[in-house]
Amino acid sequence: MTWRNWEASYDVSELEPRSRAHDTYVLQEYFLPVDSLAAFVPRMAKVFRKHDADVVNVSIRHALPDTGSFCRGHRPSRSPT
Amino acid sequence: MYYRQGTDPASQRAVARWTREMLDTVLASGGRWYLPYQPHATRAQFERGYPRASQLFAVKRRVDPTDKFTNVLWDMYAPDARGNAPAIDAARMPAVLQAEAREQLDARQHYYRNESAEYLTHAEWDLVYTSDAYARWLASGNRPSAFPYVRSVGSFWRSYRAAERAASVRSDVPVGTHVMLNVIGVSTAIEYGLKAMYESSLGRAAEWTEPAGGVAEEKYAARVAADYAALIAEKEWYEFSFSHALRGLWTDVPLTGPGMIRKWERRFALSGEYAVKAMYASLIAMGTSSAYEPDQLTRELVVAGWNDSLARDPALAAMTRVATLDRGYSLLRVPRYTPYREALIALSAHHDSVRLAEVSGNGVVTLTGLVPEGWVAPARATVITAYPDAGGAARRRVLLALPARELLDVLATQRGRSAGGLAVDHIYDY
Repeated sequence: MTWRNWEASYDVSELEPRSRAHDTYVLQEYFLPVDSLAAFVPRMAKVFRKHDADVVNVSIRHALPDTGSFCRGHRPSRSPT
Repeated sequence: MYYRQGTDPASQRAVARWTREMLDTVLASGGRWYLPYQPHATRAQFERGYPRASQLFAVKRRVDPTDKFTNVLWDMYAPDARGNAPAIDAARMPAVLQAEAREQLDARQHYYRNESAEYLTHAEWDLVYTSDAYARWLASGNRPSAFPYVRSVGSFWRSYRAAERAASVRSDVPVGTHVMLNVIGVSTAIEYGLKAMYESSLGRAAEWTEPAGGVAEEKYAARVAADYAALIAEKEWYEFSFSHALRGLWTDVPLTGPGMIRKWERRFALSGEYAVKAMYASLIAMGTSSAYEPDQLTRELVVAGWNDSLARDPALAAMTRVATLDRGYSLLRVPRYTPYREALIALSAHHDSVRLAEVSGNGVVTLTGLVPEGWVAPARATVITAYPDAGGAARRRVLLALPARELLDVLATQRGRSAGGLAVDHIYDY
């Protein structure tokens, strides 16, 4: 068995597909207020299932609020996924 | 969120659709999304998620009033000074179509075509060019025994392989396409193989007895070959009436005359050829009518910069605007085959003000034509395959793939080079 994180820890190219010509891997990030995250997750899953999206991984992390920019993803006192 | 997607246009559209639906869900939960990724969001979604962006755009307009600096986010979402989405012009056409135009196209029937068709159609057309070369060969009084039958079969399979390789980089070629190409490829190999054997033995022996100026049967064969080449440029080969050609040979061509040996040798050779083809064509026609739906006779393409004065230009009469899309793009409908080529070549005269965005939902166009020795492909085009023309002239046939957005520029440049340029046979129309 190969652990994804162990592989990635010494050579991230191990995770790369042999070619990205036919298929590729793409990242999207959403910023959700912490208090609406629990309700959002099943709605997100529903969209993935409905469209048969080939999702490899969803990770959640906490980000500090952004108070300065005009196009801020995460608003004061809220947090992202 | 990390996901896998196909790189072909249909997969990209599918991702854009679920992403927009996801963004509605995100917005409903009071969320936002990370902007520097692909710009799938509609302007309405963007404005809802980023209401203060208008202040950013106002600052940008102040410090960079001529838009020296720009990027996809600006292309997609930056309004003009009055707050409207600016119309797209040919000179600054963004690399991708905005979500609103895509949604308008997604709602249409019969717009999208499979990308791989644009490459593989060349293999079929290669047989049309060979039939045309054969008709010209006979019409110029060349000996049928000297036609490059074997090399022509080789050029079909080489075209097929090269086109398949180019098409399958991004998407899988439908099995039905492979079946069809293999059936016509094997049939042609058998036909040309038999012809090569016959013409280089019995046919050549009879050629020795031929009177100066040939026999009436040969002129008839040249005429049938020309009719056949003309028909298959527009229709399926099996729609040609070989039984009509056979009847004509026995009713319209005199049974006696100079060169009796060659006359009757040709008469039997041609009768055999037409009879076998008539039977084979009726078999294929039966099989095909049950396997395939009839195809559309027009295609649709998206352009920036179309206007009413172009619509009145008689050279562009074949193009009809069927819809005006978001931000001033136009959806044009064009008949297929020769009118398609002629309309695009005529439109290329306006390449400074009009630009193609996509054709049948795809960003790639392939075209073929003959080029002289020493011809160099335009920088933005890829040569998929190149081989000598069966007609024997010192010209090569090339199959080029290029971005749709560059097509009009490339056509205009090649046309400007009258003698040394590419003489376009076909701009493939999916």
